[in-house]
Amino acid sequence: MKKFVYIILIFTFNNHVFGQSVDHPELYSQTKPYVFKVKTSQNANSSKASYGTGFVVDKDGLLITNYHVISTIIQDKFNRYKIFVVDKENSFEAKVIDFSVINDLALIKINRKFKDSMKLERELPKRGEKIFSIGLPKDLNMSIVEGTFNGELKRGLYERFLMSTPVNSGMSGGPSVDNNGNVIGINVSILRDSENISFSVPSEKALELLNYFHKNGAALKRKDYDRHIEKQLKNIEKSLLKSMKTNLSKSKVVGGFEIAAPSKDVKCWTANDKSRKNTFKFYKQSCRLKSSAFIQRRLYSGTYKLSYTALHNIKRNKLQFSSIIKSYLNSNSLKPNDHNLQTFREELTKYSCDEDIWVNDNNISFKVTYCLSTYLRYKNIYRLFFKAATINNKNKGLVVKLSADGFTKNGIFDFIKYHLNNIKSVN
Amino acid sequence: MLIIKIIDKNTKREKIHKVESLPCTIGRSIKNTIIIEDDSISALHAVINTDSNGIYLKDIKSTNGISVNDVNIDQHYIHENTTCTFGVVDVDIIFDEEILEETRVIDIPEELFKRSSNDKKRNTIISMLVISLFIFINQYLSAPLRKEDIPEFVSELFTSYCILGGFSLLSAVISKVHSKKYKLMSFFETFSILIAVFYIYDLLDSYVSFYSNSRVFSSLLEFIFLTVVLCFSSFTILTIFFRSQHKKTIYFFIGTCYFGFIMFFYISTIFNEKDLKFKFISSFEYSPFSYKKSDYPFKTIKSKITKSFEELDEFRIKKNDQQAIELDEYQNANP
Repeated sequence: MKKFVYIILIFTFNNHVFGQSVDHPELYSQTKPYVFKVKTSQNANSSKASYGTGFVVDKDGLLITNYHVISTIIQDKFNRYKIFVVDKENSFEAKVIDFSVINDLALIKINRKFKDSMKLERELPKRGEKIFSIGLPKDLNMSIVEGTFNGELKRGLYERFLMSTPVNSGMSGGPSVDNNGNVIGINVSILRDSENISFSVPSEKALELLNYFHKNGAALKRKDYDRHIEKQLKNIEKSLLKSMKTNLSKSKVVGGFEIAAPSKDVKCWTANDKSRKNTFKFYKQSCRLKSSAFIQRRLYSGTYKLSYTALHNIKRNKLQFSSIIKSYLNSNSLKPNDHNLQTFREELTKYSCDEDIWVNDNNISFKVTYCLSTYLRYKNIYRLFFKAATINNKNKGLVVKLSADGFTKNGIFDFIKYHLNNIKSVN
Repeated sequence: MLIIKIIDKNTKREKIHKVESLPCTIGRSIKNTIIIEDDSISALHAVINTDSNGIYLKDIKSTNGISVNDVNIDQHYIHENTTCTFGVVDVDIIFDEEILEETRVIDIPEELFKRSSNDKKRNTIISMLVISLFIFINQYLSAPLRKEDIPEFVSELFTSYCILGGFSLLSAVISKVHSKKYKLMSFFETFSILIAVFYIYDLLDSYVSFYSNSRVFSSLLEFIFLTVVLCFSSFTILTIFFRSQHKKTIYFFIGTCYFGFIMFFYISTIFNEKDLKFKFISSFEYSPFSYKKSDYPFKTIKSKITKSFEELDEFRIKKNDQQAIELDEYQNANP
């Protein structure tokens, strides 16, 4: 504890030495009138269904918050919930103007005029600069926490910046401000099981929403919410497919098979090892896109995963080797013969599965199985689980597992074709 | 005081029982004083007893009844030597004071002795060996066998025999057929054949369906397996519960009709599929992953996926309509 106090002392001491920054109390009082608690509930007084933070960006009562804070409203079939912006004494009912699932932002409006608003800063600070996050952690007290700006992260359409700020749940939708109190981003998420790794959406994205509203002046209608999400998911897919193909010239070798090099968007892990009984070797590479679009609680979309496992025979005969390939192919809970698989989720349909054989452009024969399901609320948006296996004559086998979420029909064909047609056998 | 002579239909051989005390029950069940093993005899068929009028023979709600001189009777006083028919078995009831050698004989039908017990033993041993062989093949194909795996193999073998024994014991206990010792062996034989069939299916299905592209082939295999198992097990179950050959045939017929009805639909769905690429030889090719590109282009898998898309869209529209109705109901309830 003593050490901790010292560290704090050192930090405050540093602040005074350089003398550039505003003190926390000052910054807090400067931003306080414009940061509010946002909650969704059935009545103004009833307990919340979800809550977060929001801040004023326009004098006319426009607030920016996270989409996931108010997603209860967007996904509410029966129109039961309302948004409330809670002041100390009063709560104001808010209306959804616009939202973006890509950037996890929402623009809401209340019937109240403000003297001033928070400024959205287009330019991001330099790396290592001190920034502050404001919000309502765990519904306790409005808090301001300090951290550093650690650069941008771009994956397809998903743009976030990394900061090392202790953000807690409930601070979502709150502003991240620089020394001068200008908003540079909106707190979005944290990395679980990590120390102070948190993400913000650049305020440029919020400005886009705001400018669009100023230009058009019309709020989204309730019946258009689903189409709006649909359109955004399609945009995400387009950007993902585009960036997936940019690395076409380079290629990667996984255990004797050449595969399409994964794009910069995804993070990959490799594992090469021998089996327990030392009868075969495996080379595994699994990649996943770490970003996804939050749609509603426990439902993320607009993302994909790739996994390649090459197997080399050591001691097994051909039948035994093919049995290990078979077990790799069937290892997931989704099996090709379960034609009436239920998803047990309200938002998705059951799975429709089938299998076949496909010979790709490089004359490699695959045994292919797939399962598809679709979103009930969104047209032409699907979820895919795809598996393919092959054995070549030289005691080598490959199992490919692909999964894509929030893709359209053409996107899914494109996705499968791209990944399987780029597989080549290397001697 | 009374002598009851049972005349075998086929051999015309007589079996003689002496009734020493009354009441005396007659039937197929082992509980009776006199046991007649015949399909037409009910478990408790008739009783012989006395009252103030004399000795009488009474039918106890038997299925096939008793007739004396071709007349169905309910209760009949016996004053003299009488010939009556229990179901289809002729029985002579004789007043005689002679002492007979045999007092109580369990009457076992000839058919049960058609096969010698050596035959049964041989069959059981063969089916047990078949099971062991298939367990071994399964083990061998899934991974190379090593010395360390032998306990696993033995334990699997042991478990399957235990299950087999348990099942046959249970069946023998439930069974209405009396000579349990005899039945235990034959149930063991039956069930071991069933398990062997199961192993054969498992082996064929997992390897053949993995290599072959043909849905028809794997479905056909499944169909044959189901038919064999269903016929076999249904007949076994019928043997447990029904002694009468007549009844067994009727129930088997009903069962076959029922399953046949389901099977008809099952098969028709398989053969309705348009892409009937049934290449029997390619199913057994040793090097399975060497298909030609012209046979399996992207088009085939694309058409399958498109079919899935259509199915899902249909499902989604149906579900959405349902939800719209729910929403309407909700709004009407909460204006």
